[in-house]
Amino acid sequence: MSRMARLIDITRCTACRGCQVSCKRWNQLAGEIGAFTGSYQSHDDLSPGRWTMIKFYEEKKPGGEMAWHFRKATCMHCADAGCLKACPNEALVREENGTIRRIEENCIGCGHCVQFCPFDIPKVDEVAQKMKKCTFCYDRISNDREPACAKTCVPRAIVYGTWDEMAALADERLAQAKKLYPDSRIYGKDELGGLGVIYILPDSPAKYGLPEDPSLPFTLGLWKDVVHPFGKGLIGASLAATGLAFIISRRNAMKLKESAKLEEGGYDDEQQKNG
Amino acid sequence: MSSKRMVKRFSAAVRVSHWLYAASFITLAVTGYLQFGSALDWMIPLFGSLEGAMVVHRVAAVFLIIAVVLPLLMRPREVSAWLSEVFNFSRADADFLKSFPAKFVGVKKEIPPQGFYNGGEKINSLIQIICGAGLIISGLFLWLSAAPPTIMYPLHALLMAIGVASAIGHIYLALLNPVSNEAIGGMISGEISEQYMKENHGRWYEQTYKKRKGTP
Repeated sequence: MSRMARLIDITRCTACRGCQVSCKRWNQLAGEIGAFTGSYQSHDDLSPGRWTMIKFYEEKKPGGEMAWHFRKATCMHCADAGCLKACPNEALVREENGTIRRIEENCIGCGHCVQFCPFDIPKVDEVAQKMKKCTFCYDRISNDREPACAKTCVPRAIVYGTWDEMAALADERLAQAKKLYPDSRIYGKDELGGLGVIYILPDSPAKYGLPEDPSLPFTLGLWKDVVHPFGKGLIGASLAATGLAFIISRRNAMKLKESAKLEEGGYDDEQQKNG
Repeated sequence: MSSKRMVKRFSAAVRVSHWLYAASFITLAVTGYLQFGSALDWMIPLFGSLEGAMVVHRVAAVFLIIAVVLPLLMRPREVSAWLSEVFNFSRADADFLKSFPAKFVGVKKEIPPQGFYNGGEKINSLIQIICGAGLIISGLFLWLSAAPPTIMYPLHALLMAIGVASAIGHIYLALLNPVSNEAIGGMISGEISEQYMKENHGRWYEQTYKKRKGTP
Protein backbone atom coordinates (compact mmCIF):
# COMPACT_ATOMS: atom_id res chain seq x y z
CA MET A 1 0.00 0.00 0.00
CA SER A 2 1.30 3.43 -0.80
CA ARG A 3 1.63 6.23 1.68
CA MET A 4 -1.65 7.94 2.42
CA ALA A 5 -2.17 11.56 3.44
CA ARG A 6 -4.74 14.18 4.26
CA LEU A 7 -4.84 17.52 2.50
CA ILE A 8 -6.15 20.16 4.90
CA ASP A 9 -7.05 23.26 2.98
CA ILE A 10 -7.29 26.08 5.50
CA THR A 11 -8.46 28.47 2.77
CA ARG A 12 -11.65 26.40 2.55
CA CYS A 13 -12.06 25.54 6.23
CA THR A 14 -14.98 27.32 7.90
CA ALA A 15 -14.02 26.25 11.42
CA CYS A 16 -17.33 24.44 11.82
CA ARG A 17 -15.61 21.82 14.01
CA GLY A 18 -17.48 18.99 12.35
CA CYS A 19 -14.18 17.04 12.19
CA GLN A 20 -13.76 17.51 15.92
CA VAL A 21 -17.16 15.91 16.52
CA SER A 22 -16.87 13.08 14.02
CA CYS A 23 -13.42 12.18 15.43
CA LYS A 24 -15.00 11.85 18.87
CA ARG A 25 -17.87 9.81 17.48
CA TRP A 26 -15.84 7.33 15.48
CA ASN A 27 -13.20 6.86 18.16
CA GLN A 28 -15.81 6.77 20.95
CA LEU A 29 -14.16 9.51 22.97
CA ALA A 30 -16.24 11.07 25.71
CA GLY A 31 -17.09 14.74 25.50
CA GLU A 32 -15.13 17.03 27.80
CA ILE A 33 -16.35 20.38 29.00
CA GLY A 34 -13.48 22.81 29.29
CA ALA A 35 -13.20 26.27 30.76
CA PHE A 36 -13.81 29.29 28.57
CA THR A 37 -10.61 29.92 26.64
CA GLY A 38 -11.17 33.61 25.99
CA SER A 39 -11.72 33.01 22.31
CA TYR A 40 -13.86 31.00 19.94
CA GLN A 41 -11.64 27.97 20.58
CA SER A 42 -13.48 25.11 22.31
CA HIS A 43 -10.69 23.84 24.58
CA ASP A 44 -7.22 25.09 25.38
CA ASP A 45 -5.37 22.17 23.76
CA LEU A 46 -5.56 18.61 22.53
CA SER A 47 -5.96 16.02 25.27
CA PRO A 48 -5.82 12.23 25.67
CA GLY A 49 -9.49 12.23 24.72
CA ARG A 50 -9.35 14.97 22.05
CA TRP A 51 -7.23 13.99 19.08
CA THR A 52 -8.16 16.82 16.77
CA MET A 53 -9.54 20.33 17.22
CA ILE A 54 -9.78 23.67 15.51
CA LYS A 55 -7.31 26.10 17.03
CA PHE A 56 -7.99 29.82 16.77
CA TYR A 57 -5.38 32.53 16.58
CA GLU A 58 -6.14 36.22 16.77
CA GLU A 59 -3.78 38.74 15.25
CA LYS A 60 -3.83 42.51 15.59
CA LYS A 61 -2.61 43.99 12.34
CA PRO A 62 -0.47 47.17 12.35
CA GLY A 63 -3.49 49.25 11.32
CA GLY A 64 -5.40 48.06 14.37
CA GLU A 65 -7.53 45.72 12.30
CA MET A 66 -8.12 42.24 13.75
CA ALA A 67 -7.36 39.13 11.76
CA TRP A 68 -8.69 35.74 12.71
CA HIS A 69 -6.85 32.54 11.82
CA PHE A 70 -7.82 28.98 12.53
CA ARG A 71 -6.40 25.57 11.76
CA LYS A 72 -7.34 21.97 12.33
CA ALA A 73 -4.65 20.59 14.64
CA THR A 74 -3.94 16.87 14.43
CA CYS A 75 -1.09 14.38 14.32
CA MET A 76 0.86 14.87 11.08
CA HIS A 77 2.12 11.27 10.83
CA CYS A 78 5.55 12.66 9.81
CA ALA A 79 7.93 10.77 7.55
CA ASP A 80 10.70 11.65 10.00
CA ALA A 81 8.75 11.14 13.21
CA GLY A 82 10.42 12.30 16.43
CA CYS A 83 7.95 10.43 18.64
CA LEU A 84 8.74 7.14 16.95
CA LYS A 85 12.47 7.62 17.42
CA ALA A 86 12.16 8.72 21.05
CA CYS A 87 9.91 5.83 22.11
CA PRO A 88 11.89 3.46 24.37
CA ASN A 89 9.60 0.48 24.05
CA GLU A 90 8.63 0.19 20.37
CA ALA A 91 5.14 1.39 21.21
CA LEU A 92 5.05 3.44 18.00
CA VAL A 93 5.37 1.91 14.56
CA ARG A 94 5.16 3.22 11.04
CA GLU A 95 2.61 1.34 8.99
CA GLU A 96 2.99 0.87 5.28
CA ASN A 97 0.29 3.45 4.60
CA GLY A 98 2.23 6.05 6.56
CA THR A 99 0.28 5.89 9.82
CA ILE A 100 2.36 6.36 12.96
CA ARG A 101 0.43 3.82 14.96
CA ARG A 102 0.60 3.34 18.69
CA ILE A 103 0.64 -0.16 20.14
CA GLU A 104 -1.48 -0.01 23.25
CA GLU A 105 0.22 -2.78 25.25
CA ASN A 106 3.74 -1.46 24.61
CA CYS A 107 2.97 2.11 25.63
CA ILE A 108 3.85 2.91 29.24
CA GLY A 109 2.98 6.60 29.13
CA CYS A 110 6.58 7.67 29.78
CA GLY A 111 6.05 10.79 27.67
CA HIS A 112 9.38 10.79 25.82
CA CYS A 113 7.40 11.21 22.57
CA VAL A 114 5.82 14.37 23.98
CA GLN A 115 9.21 16.04 24.41
CA PHE A 116 10.36 15.27 20.87
CA CYS A 117 7.23 16.09 18.85
CA PRO A 118 7.76 19.39 16.98
CA PHE A 119 3.97 19.93 16.86
CA ASP A 120 3.12 19.15 20.51
CA ILE A 121 0.61 16.46 19.54
CA PRO A 122 0.99 13.43 21.85
CA LYS A 123 -0.82 13.73 25.18
CA VAL A 124 -0.29 11.38 28.10
CA ASP A 125 -3.22 10.03 30.05
CA GLU A 126 -1.58 10.03 33.48
CA VAL A 127 -4.20 7.75 35.02
CA ALA A 128 -4.13 5.06 32.35
CA GLN A 129 -0.36 5.64 31.82
CA LYS A 130 -0.84 5.71 28.05
CA MET A 131 -0.07 8.26 25.38
CA LYS A 132 -2.99 9.12 23.11
CA LYS A 133 -3.07 10.81 19.74
CA CYS A 134 -4.75 10.75 16.34
CA THR A 135 -4.68 7.24 14.83
CA PHE A 136 -5.24 8.47 11.25
CA CYS A 137 -8.39 6.30 11.62
CA TYR A 138 -6.14 3.34 10.97
CA ASP A 139 -9.09 0.97 11.30
CA ARG A 140 -11.05 2.87 8.64
CA ILE A 141 -8.29 3.55 6.15
CA SER A 142 -7.00 -0.02 6.20
CA ASN A 143 -10.54 -0.97 5.12
CA ASP A 144 -10.54 1.54 2.26
CA ARG A 145 -12.62 4.11 4.08
CA GLU A 146 -11.56 7.69 4.50
CA PRO A 147 -10.76 9.04 7.99
CA ALA A 148 -13.77 10.22 9.97
CA CYS A 149 -12.70 13.88 9.80
CA ALA A 150 -12.32 13.82 6.01
CA LYS A 151 -15.67 12.10 5.54
CA THR A 152 -17.59 14.69 7.51
CA CYS A 153 -15.91 17.79 6.10
CA VAL A 154 -18.61 19.81 4.32
CA PRO A 155 -16.49 22.32 2.36
CA ARG A 156 -14.08 19.50 1.35
CA ALA A 157 -11.30 21.22 3.26
CA ILE A 158 -10.06 17.80 4.43
CA VAL A 159 -9.34 15.47 1.54
CA TYR A 160 -7.94 11.98 1.89
CA GLY A 161 -5.93 10.06 -0.71
CA THR A 162 -2.44 8.82 -1.52
CA TRP A 163 0.37 11.15 -0.61
CA ASP A 164 1.25 11.76 -4.25
CA GLU A 165 -2.34 12.57 -5.15
CA MET A 166 -2.62 14.97 -2.23
CA ALA A 167 0.68 16.64 -3.15
CA ALA A 168 -0.61 17.16 -6.69
CA LEU A 169 -3.99 18.36 -5.44
CA ALA A 170 -2.18 20.78 -3.13
CA ASP A 171 -0.52 22.43 -6.13
CA GLU A 172 -3.90 22.77 -7.82
CA ARG A 173 -5.59 24.16 -4.75
CA LEU A 174 -2.71 26.55 -4.13
CA ALA A 175 -3.16 28.08 -7.58
CA GLN A 176 -6.84 28.72 -6.75
CA ALA A 177 -6.12 29.97 -3.26
CA LYS A 178 -3.51 32.46 -4.47
CA LYS A 179 -6.29 34.48 -6.15
CA LEU A 180 -7.94 35.15 -2.82
CA TYR A 181 -4.94 34.94 -0.49
CA PRO A 182 -1.79 36.05 -2.29
CA ASP A 183 0.37 34.92 0.65
CA SER A 184 -0.95 31.37 0.71
CA ARG A 185 1.47 28.48 0.65
CA ILE A 186 1.79 24.72 0.99
CA TYR A 187 2.99 23.35 4.33
CA GLY A 188 3.97 19.73 4.83
CA LYS A 189 5.34 18.68 1.47
CA ASP A 190 9.00 19.16 2.36
CA GLU A 191 8.82 19.51 6.14
CA LEU A 192 10.35 16.58 8.06
CA GLY A 193 10.63 14.41 4.97
CA GLY A 194 7.02 15.11 4.02
CA LEU A 195 4.15 15.17 6.51
CA GLY A 196 1.11 12.93 6.39
CA VAL A 197 -0.90 16.15 6.55
CA ILE A 198 -0.41 18.67 3.77
CA TYR A 199 -1.81 22.09 4.61
CA ILE A 200 -2.78 24.94 2.33
CA LEU A 201 -2.16 27.92 4.59
CA PRO A 202 -3.47 31.36 3.63
CA ASP A 203 -0.54 33.02 5.42
CA SER A 204 2.77 32.23 7.13
CA PRO A 205 2.86 29.10 9.37
CA ALA A 206 3.70 31.15 12.48
CA LYS A 207 0.21 32.69 12.35
CA TYR A 208 -1.27 29.20 12.65
CA GLY A 209 0.87 28.04 15.55
CA LEU A 210 3.11 25.99 13.30
CA PRO A 211 6.92 26.07 13.37
CA GLU A 212 8.31 27.80 10.29
CA ASP A 213 10.86 25.07 9.66
CA PRO A 214 10.07 22.09 11.90
CA SER A 215 13.06 19.96 12.84
CA LEU A 216 13.91 17.32 15.38
CA PRO A 217 16.26 18.47 18.16
CA PHE A 218 19.84 17.32 17.63
CA THR A 219 19.71 15.80 21.11
CA LEU A 220 17.37 13.12 19.77
CA GLY A 221 19.93 11.97 17.20
CA LEU A 222 22.70 12.28 19.79
CA TRP A 223 20.68 10.11 22.16
CA LYS A 224 19.54 7.35 19.84
CA ASP A 225 22.25 7.28 17.15
CA VAL A 226 25.37 8.08 19.19
CA VAL A 227 24.90 7.47 22.91
CA HIS A 228 22.91 4.24 22.58
CA PRO A 229 25.33 2.32 20.32
CA PHE A 230 28.33 3.75 22.22
CA GLY A 231 26.83 2.84 25.59
CA LYS A 232 25.93 -0.68 24.51
CA GLY A 233 29.45 -1.14 23.14
CA LEU A 234 31.02 0.19 26.34
CA ILE A 235 28.99 -2.06 28.65
CA GLY A 236 29.63 -5.03 26.34
CA ALA A 237 33.36 -4.32 26.26
CA SER A 238 33.47 -4.04 30.05
CA LEU A 239 31.67 -7.37 30.45
CA ALA A 240 33.91 -9.05 27.88
CA ALA A 241 37.14 -7.69 29.44
CA THR A 242 36.23 -8.71 32.99
CA GLY A 243 34.95 -12.10 31.82
CA LEU A 244 38.17 -12.77 29.97
CA ALA A 245 40.29 -11.52 32.87
CA PHE A 246 38.33 -13.76 35.23
CA ILE A 247 39.07 -16.86 33.14
CA ILE A 248 42.76 -15.96 32.82
CA SER A 249 43.08 -15.23 36.53
CA ARG A 250 41.53 -18.60 37.46
CA ARG A 251 43.81 -20.41 35.05
CA ASN A 252 46.83 -18.64 36.50
CA ALA A 253 45.78 -19.57 40.02
CA MET A 254 45.27 -23.23 39.01
CA LYS A 255 48.63 -23.36 37.29
CA LEU A 256 50.35 -22.06 40.39
CA LYS A 257 48.52 -24.59 42.53
CA GLU A 258 49.52 -27.46 40.25
CA SER A 259 53.15 -26.53 39.87
CA ALA A 260 53.88 -25.88 43.53
CA LYS A 261 51.63 -28.10 45.51
CA LEU A 262 53.49 -28.45 48.75
CA GLU A 263 56.67 -26.64 47.91
CA GLU A 264 57.77 -24.20 50.55
CA GLY A 265 57.13 -20.66 49.42
CA GLY A 266 54.82 -22.04 46.74
CA TYR A 267 51.27 -20.96 46.17
CA ASP A 268 49.58 -23.22 48.78
CA ASP A 269 52.23 -22.51 51.35
CA GLU A 270 51.89 -18.77 50.86
CA GLN A 271 48.14 -19.00 51.08
CA GLN A 272 48.40 -20.92 54.38
CA LYS A 273 50.91 -18.51 55.82
CA ASN A 274 48.80 -15.56 54.88
CA GLY A 275 45.87 -17.13 56.43
CA MET B 1 43.53 -16.79 60.73
CA SER B 2 43.39 -15.47 64.22
CA SER B 3 47.07 -14.67 64.11
CA LYS B 4 46.49 -12.16 61.36
CA ARG B 5 46.73 -8.55 62.42
CA MET B 6 43.84 -6.57 61.13
CA VAL B 7 43.66 -2.89 60.26
CA LYS B 8 40.58 -0.70 60.35
CA ARG B 9 39.70 0.60 56.88
CA PHE B 10 36.13 1.88 56.62
CA SER B 11 33.76 3.10 59.33
CA ALA B 12 30.32 1.56 59.73
CA ALA B 13 28.54 4.63 58.35
CA VAL B 14 30.62 4.57 55.19
CA ARG B 15 30.08 0.84 54.75
CA VAL B 16 26.31 1.12 55.16
CA SER B 17 26.15 3.96 52.66
CA HIS B 18 28.38 2.04 50.23
CA TRP B 19 26.08 -0.98 50.26
CA LEU B 20 22.95 1.13 50.14
CA TYR B 21 24.43 2.89 47.12
CA ALA B 22 25.44 -0.42 45.55
CA ALA B 23 21.99 -1.98 45.97
CA SER B 24 20.21 1.11 44.63
CA PHE B 25 22.72 1.49 41.81
CA ILE B 26 22.21 -2.09 40.60
CA THR B 27 18.41 -1.75 40.87
CA LEU B 28 18.55 1.53 38.96
CA ALA B 29 20.89 0.10 36.32
CA VAL B 30 18.63 -2.92 35.69
CA THR B 31 15.33 -1.00 35.62
CA GLY B 32 16.88 1.82 33.60
CA TYR B 33 18.44 -0.57 31.12
CA LEU B 34 14.94 -1.83 30.23
CA GLN B 35 14.42 1.51 28.46
CA PHE B 36 17.94 1.55 27.02
CA GLY B 37 18.34 -1.91 25.46
CA SER B 38 16.48 -5.18 25.18
CA ALA B 39 19.04 -7.58 26.71
CA LEU B 40 17.31 -7.56 30.11
CA ASP B 41 13.69 -7.62 28.90
CA TRP B 42 13.24 -11.09 30.43
CA MET B 43 13.45 -9.39 33.84
CA ILE B 44 10.34 -7.27 33.27
CA PRO B 45 7.96 -9.76 35.03
CA LEU B 46 10.06 -9.25 38.16
CA PHE B 47 8.66 -5.73 38.36
CA GLY B 48 5.17 -6.64 37.19
CA SER B 49 5.44 -4.58 34.05
CA LEU B 50 7.61 -1.93 32.48
CA GLU B 51 5.51 0.69 34.26
CA GLY B 52 6.26 -1.15 37.51
CA ALA B 53 9.96 -1.10 36.70
CA MET B 54 9.78 2.67 36.26
CA VAL B 55 8.18 3.01 39.70
CA VAL B 56 10.94 0.84 41.18
CA HIS B 57 13.47 3.04 39.34
CA ARG B 58 12.18 6.13 41.12
CA VAL B 59 12.03 4.46 44.55
CA ALA B 60 15.60 3.20 44.12
CA ALA B 61 16.64 6.69 43.04
CA VAL B 62 15.46 8.06 46.39
CA PHE B 63 17.55 5.45 48.23
CA LEU B 64 20.59 6.25 46.09
CA ILE B 65 20.29 9.92 46.95
CA ILE B 66 19.98 8.99 50.64
CA ALA B 67 23.16 6.88 50.29
CA VAL B 68 24.96 10.00 49.03
CA VAL B 69 23.57 12.42 51.60
CA LEU B 70 23.93 10.10 54.63
CA PRO B 71 27.76 9.99 54.83
CA LEU B 72 27.95 13.68 53.96
CA LEU B 73 25.97 14.41 57.12
CA MET B 74 27.33 11.67 59.36
CA ARG B 75 30.97 11.38 58.37
CA PRO B 76 31.88 14.62 56.58
CA ARG B 77 35.55 14.25 57.54
CA GLU B 78 35.87 10.76 56.08
CA VAL B 79 34.12 11.90 52.91
CA SER B 80 36.29 14.98 52.49
CA ALA B 81 39.42 12.87 53.06
CA TRP B 82 38.22 10.57 50.28
CA LEU B 83 37.47 13.47 47.96
CA SER B 84 40.81 15.20 48.58
CA GLU B 85 42.67 11.92 47.90
CA VAL B 86 40.66 11.15 44.79
CA PHE B 87 41.11 14.57 43.26
CA ASN B 88 44.83 14.45 43.94
CA PHE B 89 46.21 12.12 41.31
CA SER B 90 49.92 11.58 41.94
CA ARG B 91 52.90 10.00 40.22
CA ALA B 92 52.49 6.82 42.28
CA ASP B 93 48.94 6.49 40.98
CA ALA B 94 50.12 6.70 37.39
CA ASP B 95 52.76 4.05 38.16
CA PHE B 96 50.06 1.85 39.64
CA LEU B 97 48.14 1.93 36.38
CA LYS B 98 51.21 0.56 34.57
CA SER B 99 51.22 -2.49 36.82
CA PHE B 100 47.42 -2.78 36.71
CA PRO B 101 47.02 -5.08 33.66
CA ALA B 102 48.89 -7.86 35.50
CA LYS B 103 46.69 -7.42 38.56
CA PHE B 104 43.60 -7.37 36.34
CA VAL B 105 44.29 -10.88 35.03
CA GLY B 106 45.22 -12.15 38.48
CA VAL B 107 49.03 -12.06 38.39
CA LYS B 108 50.57 -10.90 41.65
CA LYS B 109 53.16 -8.25 40.95
CA GLU B 110 55.08 -5.76 43.01
CA ILE B 111 53.19 -2.49 42.90
CA PRO B 112 54.54 0.97 43.69
CA PRO B 113 53.54 2.00 47.24
CA GLN B 114 50.01 3.36 47.23
CA GLY B 115 48.15 5.62 49.62
CA PHE B 116 44.80 4.83 51.26
CA TYR B 117 43.37 4.51 47.74
CA ASN B 118 45.36 3.15 44.81
CA GLY B 119 45.36 4.73 41.36
CA GLY B 120 42.66 2.41 40.05
CA GLU B 121 40.37 2.99 43.01
CA LYS B 122 40.84 6.72 42.50
CA ILE B 123 39.82 6.48 38.85
CA ASN B 124 36.77 4.39 39.70
CA SER B 125 35.88 6.88 42.46
CA LEU B 126 36.23 9.78 40.04
CA ILE B 127 34.04 8.08 37.43
CA GLN B 128 31.39 7.19 40.01
CA ILE B 129 31.39 10.68 41.56
CA ILE B 130 31.01 12.43 38.21
CA CYS B 131 28.50 9.93 36.81
CA GLY B 132 26.57 9.75 40.08
CA ALA B 133 26.23 13.52 40.37
CA GLY B 134 25.29 13.84 36.70
CA LEU B 135 22.79 10.98 36.87
CA ILE B 136 21.11 12.39 39.97
CA ILE B 137 20.82 15.88 38.45
CA SER B 138 19.65 14.75 35.00
CA GLY B 139 17.38 12.14 36.60
CA LEU B 140 15.69 14.73 38.78
CA PHE B 141 15.08 16.86 35.69
CA LEU B 142 13.54 13.92 33.83
CA TRP B 143 11.43 12.98 36.83
CA LEU B 144 10.21 16.34 38.06
CA SER B 145 10.19 18.66 35.06
CA ALA B 146 7.18 18.69 32.76
CA ALA B 147 9.42 19.67 29.84
CA PRO B 148 13.04 18.80 30.72
CA PRO B 149 15.81 20.19 28.49
CA THR B 150 16.12 17.47 25.85
CA ILE B 151 19.89 17.15 26.43
CA MET B 152 19.02 15.39 29.72
CA TYR B 153 17.89 12.25 27.86
CA PRO B 154 21.21 11.49 26.09
CA LEU B 155 23.16 12.71 29.13
CA HIS B 156 21.36 10.32 31.49
CA ALA B 157 21.93 7.41 29.09
CA LEU B 158 25.62 8.24 28.54
CA LEU B 159 26.46 8.59 32.24
CA MET B 160 24.59 5.35 32.96
CA ALA B 161 26.69 3.48 30.37
CA ILE B 162 29.99 4.86 31.70
CA GLY B 163 29.01 4.30 35.33
CA VAL B 164 27.84 0.74 34.69
CA ALA B 165 30.92 -0.19 32.64
CA SER B 166 33.15 1.07 35.44
CA ALA B 167 31.04 -0.61 38.14
CA ILE B 168 31.37 -3.95 36.35
CA GLY B 169 35.17 -3.66 36.61
CA HIS B 170 34.87 -2.58 40.26
CA ILE B 171 32.67 -5.57 41.14
CA TYR B 172 34.98 -7.99 39.33
CA LEU B 173 38.08 -6.71 41.12
CA ALA B 174 36.38 -6.83 44.51
CA LEU B 175 34.65 -10.19 44.24
CA LEU B 176 36.25 -12.38 41.62
CA ASN B 177 39.84 -11.30 41.17
CA PRO B 178 42.08 -13.52 43.34
CA VAL B 179 44.77 -10.86 43.76
CA SER B 180 42.56 -8.04 44.94
CA ASN B 181 39.42 -9.61 46.37
CA GLU B 182 40.73 -9.46 49.93
CA ALA B 183 39.85 -5.78 49.76
CA ILE B 184 36.17 -6.59 50.04
CA GLY B 185 36.75 -7.34 53.73
CA GLY B 186 37.39 -3.64 54.16
CA MET B 187 33.87 -2.93 52.97
CA ILE B 188 32.16 -5.80 54.84
CA SER B 189 33.77 -6.04 58.28
CA GLY B 190 35.60 -2.76 57.88
CA GLU B 191 39.00 -4.42 58.33
CA ILE B 192 41.75 -5.75 56.10
CA SER B 193 44.88 -7.68 57.06
CA GLU B 194 48.02 -5.78 57.81
CA GLN B 195 49.79 -7.97 55.26
CA TYR B 196 47.42 -6.83 52.51
CA MET B 197 47.80 -3.26 53.66
CA LYS B 198 51.58 -3.47 53.45
CA GLU B 199 51.53 -5.11 50.01
CA ASN B 200 48.88 -2.97 48.38
CA HIS B 201 48.88 0.33 50.21
CA GLY B 202 52.55 0.84 51.12
CA ARG B 203 52.35 4.56 51.58
CA TRP B 204 49.26 4.35 53.79
CA TYR B 205 51.09 1.70 55.89
CA GLU B 206 54.13 3.92 56.29
CA GLN B 207 52.10 7.00 57.15
CA THR B 208 50.05 5.11 59.73
CA TYR B 209 53.04 3.67 61.56
CA LYS B 210 55.20 6.77 61.34
CA LYS B 211 52.41 8.72 62.98
CA ARG B 212 52.22 6.14 65.76
CA LYS B 213 55.96 6.27 66.37
CA GLY B 214 55.84 10.06 66.38
CA THR B 215 53.22 10.15 69.12
CA PRO B 216 54.20 7.63 71.77
